[in-house]
Amino acid sequence: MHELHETVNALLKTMLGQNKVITPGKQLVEDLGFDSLKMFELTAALEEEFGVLIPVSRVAHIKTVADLYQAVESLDRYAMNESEADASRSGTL
Amino acid sequence: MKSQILEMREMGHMETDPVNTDIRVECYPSIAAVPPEVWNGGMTLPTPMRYEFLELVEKSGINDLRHWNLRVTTAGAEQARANIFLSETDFSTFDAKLPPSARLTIKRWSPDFMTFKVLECGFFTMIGEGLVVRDAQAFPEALRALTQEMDRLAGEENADFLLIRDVPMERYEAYHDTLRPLGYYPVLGFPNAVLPVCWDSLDGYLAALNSKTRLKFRNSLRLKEKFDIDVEFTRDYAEHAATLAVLWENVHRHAKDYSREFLDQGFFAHSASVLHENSEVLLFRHRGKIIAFMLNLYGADDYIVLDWGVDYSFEQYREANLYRAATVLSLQRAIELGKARMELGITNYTPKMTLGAEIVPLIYFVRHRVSPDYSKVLAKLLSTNIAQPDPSVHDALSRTGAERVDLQALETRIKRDQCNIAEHDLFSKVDKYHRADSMRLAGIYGLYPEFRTAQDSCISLGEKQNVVLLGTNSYLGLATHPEVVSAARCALEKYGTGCSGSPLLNGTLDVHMRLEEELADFLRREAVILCSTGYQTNLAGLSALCGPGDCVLMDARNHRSLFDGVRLSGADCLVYRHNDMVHLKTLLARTSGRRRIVVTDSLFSMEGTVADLRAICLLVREFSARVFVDESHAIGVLGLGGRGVCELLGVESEVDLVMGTFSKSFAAIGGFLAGRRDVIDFIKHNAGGHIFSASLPASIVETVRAVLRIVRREPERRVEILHKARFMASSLASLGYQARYHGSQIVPVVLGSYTLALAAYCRFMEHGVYVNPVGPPAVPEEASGFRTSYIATHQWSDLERALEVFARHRADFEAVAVPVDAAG
Repeated sequence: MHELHETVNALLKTMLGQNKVITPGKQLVEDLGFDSLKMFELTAALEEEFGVLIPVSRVAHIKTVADLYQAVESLDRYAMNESEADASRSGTL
Repeated sequence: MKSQILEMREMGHMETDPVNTDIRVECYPSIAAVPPEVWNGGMTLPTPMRYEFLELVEKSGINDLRHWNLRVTTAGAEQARANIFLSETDFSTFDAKLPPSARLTIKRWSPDFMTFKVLECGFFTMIGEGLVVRDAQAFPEALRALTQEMDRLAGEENADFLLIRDVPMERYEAYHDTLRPLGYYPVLGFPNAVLPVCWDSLDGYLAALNSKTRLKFRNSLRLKEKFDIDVEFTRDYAEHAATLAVLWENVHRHAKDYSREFLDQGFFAHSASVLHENSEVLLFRHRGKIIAFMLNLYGADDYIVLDWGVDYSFEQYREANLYRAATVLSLQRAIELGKARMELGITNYTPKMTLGAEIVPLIYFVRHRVSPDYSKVLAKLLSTNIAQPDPSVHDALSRTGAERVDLQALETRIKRDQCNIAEHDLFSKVDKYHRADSMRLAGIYGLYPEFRTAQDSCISLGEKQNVVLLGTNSYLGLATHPEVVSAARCALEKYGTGCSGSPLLNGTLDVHMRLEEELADFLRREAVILCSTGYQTNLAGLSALCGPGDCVLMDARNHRSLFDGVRLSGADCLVYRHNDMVHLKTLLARTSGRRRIVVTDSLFSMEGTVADLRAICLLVREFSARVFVDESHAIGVLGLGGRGVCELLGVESEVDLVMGTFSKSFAAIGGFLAGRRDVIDFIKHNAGGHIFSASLPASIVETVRAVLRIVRREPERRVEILHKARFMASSLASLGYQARYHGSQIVPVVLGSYTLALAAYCRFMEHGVYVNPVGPPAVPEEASGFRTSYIATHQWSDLERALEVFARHRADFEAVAVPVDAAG
C-alpha cells in the first residue's frame, strides 16, 4: 500500500510541475491547484499506471490525496457486464 | 478604545492619549528621534528591536523604506516597543504559476502590476515580532494601540495593505483574538530556521550528527588543504563594504526564492560602524581575493546569520561548498560566544535543515486598508504561494531531539480561521471563492464587458467605438442582415413576443414545425427536436438517452454542456484524452458488454481543431456503441453544404445523433437534435429540458429559418470565413505569434499563461481589439491565450487594424511558451 501511495505521489508531483509537499490531507483543488481538466489527465494517468477506470461521478467525490489513494485501492478492473453494472449502481462506483 | 491625537511638535513625534487609561503611545518618525538609552532601557528587548539594529536598517536607507517606532508607557513605566515600516512590495513574483516572461510582459503594460504599499510591523532584515511588550497582561491593549497607529499611518501614507508579521505559534491565539475581529486574516508565512546551540564545542555538535552528515561537514571545513582558501572572522569589515555588496548581489540575482531587500555598499558600511560591537563577517579568501562572505550579528543570547555573498566565478565553487562551510564555522562562533541559539532566517531551507535547524512556523496577519475582499485575496495568495519546507527527510539532529512541529494541525487551524462563514453553512464555498477578486486586485478583471452594438466586424464597447471584434461566434455575420431582421420583425408582429409554454402543450407554433422539417431536410435526417438553448439541448438529449448503468465516453475537451448533460443523466462517464483514438479504443475494449455512447464536439470551441470522426465511427461500429456529435460551431461553416464536420468527413450516415445550436451561425439562440424518427420521438416525450422548458419565441424561429435559407443560398459565405481565418492565422504566425490554422474559423493564439491572457485581453481591448481570453479549465494552463474567431462579414480593413495592434505588441511578449500542439 505504501508503494501505491508513493507512486500516486510521484504522479501528482509530475503533473503539478512544482515541488509541492504531498500529504494525505491535502485537498486536490484547494491546496494543489487541480482543475477539472487536470483531474481528467490524472484519471487517465492512474488508469495507465494501475489499470483502474475512474468514472467522472467518482472523481467528484475525490477531494483529498487520501481519497485518491482510496479510489485506486478500492476500484477493481473495469471489465463488467450488465449484471455487475446493476450491482455497482448501489455500491462503490 | 478611542484615542485622541495630541501633536507635540517640539519633540518631533506624535502622542496618542487614550481616554480611559494611563497608556501613552509615542510614535517616532525615526529611531534617531529617541535617545538610545531611552529606547533600550526600561525593558528587555530582543536583538532586532534594539536601538542599534533599528538604526542600521534606517540609516543605511535600503529599499527606500519609511520607518516609525512606537514607544508605549503605562503610568510612566516602559510597556512596549514596536517597529513599523512602509515598503513597496512587488507581489507578482509570489504567483508560482506566473512564468517570469509573462510577468515581464504584464509589467511593461502596467509597471505597478501587483505592486502594493505595505505597512508592516516586524523587521525588514531580521525575524522577530515587531511588537514587544514587557508585561504579558498588557499585550492585548498594546496590540490594539499598535493597530490604531498602523491604521492612522496607513491612511496618511495611502498604504494598500497592513501586515503584522513573524508571529510564533505559541503567540498565535493572543494576536488572533484581537486582530481577526479587526479584519486581519492569518496566513502561514515564511518559517524561520533556528538551531538551538546545546554543545560546548563544534566537535560536540558534529558527534551528534549522523555519520554521513558528519563526514560531509568535516570535509567542507578542509578549505585550506583542499582549495587553498583562507578563513577569517573580523569585526572590521568597513573597508570591504564594496566587495561584500557585489558578492551579495550575485546571490540575490541567482536566488530562486523570494527576496525583496536590496543591500548595497552603504548597508555593509553602516553595519560595520553602527554594529561594530555586535557583528562580524566571515571572509573566505582565495589567493588574497575575497570569494565569499557571511555577515553575522549577535545579541544577548542569539547569533544571527544575516547575509551571504559569493563569487560564482571561483573555479572550484561547486566542489568547495562554501555555504555549508560558512554555516558550520558560524555555528562554531556561536558556540564560542556562548549563544543559546543560531538564527538562520527564511528561505533556502535545505542546507539549513541539513545543518539540523528546526523549522519554526511563523504567522502573518494581513489586511487591506479599505477592502475586506482584498484582505482575503492577499491572504489566499500568500497561503497558496508560500511553500512550507518538509523537514521530515532531514534527520541530521534527530539524536538531539529537535522538536517536530505539528504543521498540518497549524495549517488546518489557519485555514479554518481564514473563513468568515462556517463550514456547515451552504455559503461557505462563496466565502472561499476569491478568483474574481484576485483578478480585480491585480487590475486584470475584464469580464462582463458591455457591448453597445450588434455582433459585427466592429463594435462599440464601453467608451470605445470601432473595436475590431475577433471574439464572436456569429460566424456568418447575419445578426443584422436585412432579410433576417425583417423575418424576425414580421414574426414578432404576427405572433407577439413569447409562446409562454412548453412545446409539449401550448408552446408549439406552426413555425416551430416548419423549422423542424427544414432542418431535418437540410441535415438529411428523419427528424429534429428543438430546445431553447444549445446548453439545454445537450442536457435534455443526454439525460433522456442515457441513464444509470449506461456508459458515456467523452473527449476531455468536450463542451461543459456535454459534461453537465451526462452528469444529469446519472450515467457513468469515462473521459478519453483529447482526440486520442488509442485511448478511446482502450476504454471501449475495457467496457465490453456495457451500453455505450461516444459523445464528442465535432469542432472544438477553444482549440479550433476537428474531431477524428472517421476513426470514432469505425470504433463505435467495431465495439457496437452509439455516437453523438455536437456540431455547434461547425453548422453553417464547415462542409460543402454547411452541414458540419460529419459532412466534411463523409460520416453522416454513421452518426446516430447530431446536435447543433442557433446561437452561432444562426445568430439567434436555441438548439436542436437531429436523428432517427423513433429516437427523436423518444426524446420529445422524455427529455425534461425540452418538456419542462418554454419554447423559442416565433421571432427567434423565423430568424433561424431565414438564416437557413441564406446558408443554402450563399455557400460563398462559408468560403469567405475560412479564407479570412487562414489569412489571419498565417499573418499572426508570421508576426511571431503561436497561431495555427486548423481548418476552421477558430484560431487560437497561445500565450502560455492564463494571467497573461487576461492582462493581454484587457490591453488589447484598450487598443481597439476584442478577443476571447481562454484558460483552465477550458484549456490547460500552457495552452492559455486568445481564442480568435472569424466571420464572413469581417472587413479587411478591420482585420488589418487588428493585425497592427498584434504587431505593435509582439515585442512586449518575451519568448512565448514552448509550442503546444493545440490539437492535443
